Amino acid sequence: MNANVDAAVTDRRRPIVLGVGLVLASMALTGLVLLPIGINPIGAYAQILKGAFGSINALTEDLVYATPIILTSLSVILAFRCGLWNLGSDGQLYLGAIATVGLGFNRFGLPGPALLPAMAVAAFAAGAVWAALPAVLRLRFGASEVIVTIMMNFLAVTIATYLVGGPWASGITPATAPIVPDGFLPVLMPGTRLNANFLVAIAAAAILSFVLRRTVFGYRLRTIGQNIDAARYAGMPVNRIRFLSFACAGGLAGLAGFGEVAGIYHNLPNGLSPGFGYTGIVVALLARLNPIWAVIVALALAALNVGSGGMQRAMGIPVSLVSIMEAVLILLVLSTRLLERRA
Amino acid sequence: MNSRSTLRHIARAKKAPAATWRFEAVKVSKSYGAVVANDGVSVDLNAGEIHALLGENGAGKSTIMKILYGMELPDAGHIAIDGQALKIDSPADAIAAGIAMVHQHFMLVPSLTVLENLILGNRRFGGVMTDKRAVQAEIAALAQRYRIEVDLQRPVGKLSVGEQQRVEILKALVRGARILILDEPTAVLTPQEVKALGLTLRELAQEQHGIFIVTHKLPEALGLSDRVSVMRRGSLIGTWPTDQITSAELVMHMVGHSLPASVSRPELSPGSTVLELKSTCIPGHAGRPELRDINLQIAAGEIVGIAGVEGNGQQELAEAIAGLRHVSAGEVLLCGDVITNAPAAGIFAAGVAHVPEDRHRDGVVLDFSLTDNAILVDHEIPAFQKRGIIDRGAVVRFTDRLIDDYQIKCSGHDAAMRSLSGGNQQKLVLGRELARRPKLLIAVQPTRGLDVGAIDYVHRQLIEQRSTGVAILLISTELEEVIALSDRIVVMREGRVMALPDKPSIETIGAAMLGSVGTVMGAA
Repeated sequence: MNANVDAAVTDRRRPIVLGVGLVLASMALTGLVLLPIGINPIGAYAQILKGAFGSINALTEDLVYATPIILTSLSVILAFRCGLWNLGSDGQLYLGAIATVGLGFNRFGLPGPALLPAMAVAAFAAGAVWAALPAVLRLRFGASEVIVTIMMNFLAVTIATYLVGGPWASGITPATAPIVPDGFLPVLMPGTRLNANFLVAIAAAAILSFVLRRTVFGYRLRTIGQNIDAARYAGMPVNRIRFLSFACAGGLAGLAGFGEVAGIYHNLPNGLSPGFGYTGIVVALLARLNPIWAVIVALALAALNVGSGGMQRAMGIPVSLVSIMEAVLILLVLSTRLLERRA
Repeated sequence: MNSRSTLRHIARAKKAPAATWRFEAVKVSKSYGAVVANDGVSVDLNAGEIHALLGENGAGKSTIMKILYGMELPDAGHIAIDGQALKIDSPADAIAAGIAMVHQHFMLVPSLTVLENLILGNRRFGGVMTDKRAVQAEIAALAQRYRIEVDLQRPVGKLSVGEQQRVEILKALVRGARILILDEPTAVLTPQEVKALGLTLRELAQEQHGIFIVTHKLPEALGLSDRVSVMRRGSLIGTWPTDQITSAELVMHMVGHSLPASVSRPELSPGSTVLELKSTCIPGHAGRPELRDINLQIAAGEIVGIAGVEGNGQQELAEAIAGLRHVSAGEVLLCGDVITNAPAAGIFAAGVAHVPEDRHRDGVVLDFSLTDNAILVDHEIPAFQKRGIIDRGAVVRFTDRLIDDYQIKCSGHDAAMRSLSGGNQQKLVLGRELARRPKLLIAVQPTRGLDVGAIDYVHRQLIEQRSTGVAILLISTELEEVIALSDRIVVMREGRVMALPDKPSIETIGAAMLGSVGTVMGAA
């Protein structure tokens, strides 16, 4: 009995030990790339740490950067847990942003306090509708959601570019006109960009975790993802649940777009997302489709990205170093998983 | 043939036929976890012979063939040719040794032409530059020689299933195979195509090729083969020359002679009708049999056993009652209420429990814990959830009770289903279904893949349920199981239910399974 408990504890500790080990290994490997070009890797890493954690501003920037990634990774996780690939969270994020801006101009004259919630709901709905389309094509006609969602990413970016350059153009910067101040998300710490959408993202992770583990809906969703034949045998409404979860996945990505517009830019700039959706896929896989781990992984990746900016400024090392480190880390994680599967 | 011919080895073979040879598996054993798929199986194949391997699904015939083709490695025993041990660790080794397998699901590229499929991945036809015309002429000659009619220029995707099978056989020959393993070759063929296949195989045998046919269909095994072997529960029962054994004898070997140490079965007079099928029809689909005009009644406290050779509609019948398959005509009644084509969840809620045939596919989620598996069907009932939130405490208590009551061996309720043996998995499925206090229990192959102890346990549970007034539909290809447990036995053959006289002998049942006696139930 005692041995069992011990085994359970090591089981729980194992992923943490493994994770830290992999990060160290990828740092060592990236260091091997740096040495020949005459850069001290230790110094570079120290600059990254300083850039990521060296000041209040750096710390809040980590959280700002992590916010959309948390939401897009949750989006990927939700779809994946019922056996569907959502590679379209970048596009769904754009749709959410478009809906947020469209409502944020407040041409409908919504009363001040109602505007922000309405924008959030609209962003969720827009992302959900954008995801519902590939879901229907998949569930009704068997079209691969992988391909359809990727193609719709380009479509979403194109629509946004059109709006920025055309009907909603500000005429000054490559962005739309600003939204009204009633539509600004509250700032959590004065003087920083950290806004309330970070709390939304954390809450979304907690809710998703709870839904998956504890609710009937989450149970059905997991069953479908693990064994769709058993779900059919048990009489679950398979297609309805797959549709709902895919649409909600789109909605989560839409909330990421909401936060970028209402919390950071207060308009829709050209090139809003530097690939938040794709980073979300990476985070989801590194977090093994666990919503809570997704938050931790997203924070770590965000710190790495923010810190690398500091390193670039201080030492003149290109940011692509960090891309190399991330890529090495991902390859290491995937290879350990292959090894596990063999064992 | 010109000297550059890529098929010159076959051209040579034509002049001087290959010498005789003997290919054999010697005392091969293979287990998957606790399930013994092959237990000391020895089969052999001679040049110029067609050898049929008969057995129900799960009898282990596919396993032995996979071992011969290098897809699985044996735990014990070896493969030999002419008495010399042969090391086959992969299909590549098998192909090099002249062994080819024609799978039930063809391994062809639909968008490529027949010719392209035939030379695909075959080194002998060169790399980038291939003289297609010369190759085509030779393959055409080869095809003609074995009377394999197929248009080499057509894309494979446009061919019928029978034609695709011919392409697969041709592919094996192009690769120089002398030993062919055909897995359920007739499963998807029309009677005419079966006949054509027979001619081709006979032609091949005359050229000193050897052929294994794996099947569970008796008539074809008898019609095509020179020798026939029967496997049951992982063991080889015997091998006989086809002309010296009758189909009735073969059925006996397939389903087993000996009655098990009898399960004590108290006398009971059946109660009111629980399940009633009235002229139910279920359309065939993708090679599955069509069910016609099924009439069947099961009373409370009665076990009705359905015997029959696998694939005669038993699975379809169970799925139709459980709401997993569309009923095109007729009615299904549960305690007088029509449940025809009701959603599966509604049928479960109305009091039907279903132990599905394919436990791993349908009955459990292998990567879930036992607790998650325990509520697979009943996750929505008030005992386990309140306002959409699962009551984890109640589920854990329920799972612990199942583990206790059914003596499920596991490391606890959080153990993964995958970590349990087949028998313990089945106990959980059975326990879960019985805990729902069903009026009707559909048990399909409830003891498949289980060891003797677990089989006995399942049998006693079924009898106990019968005593408490549950109506049980028992579908099994294990004839001894059906006889030992059932109050009434019917036979399914070709999608029809045949009635039998009271207390039928094993011979009568066997004959009905083959179609020589028995009347269609409900027909005047």
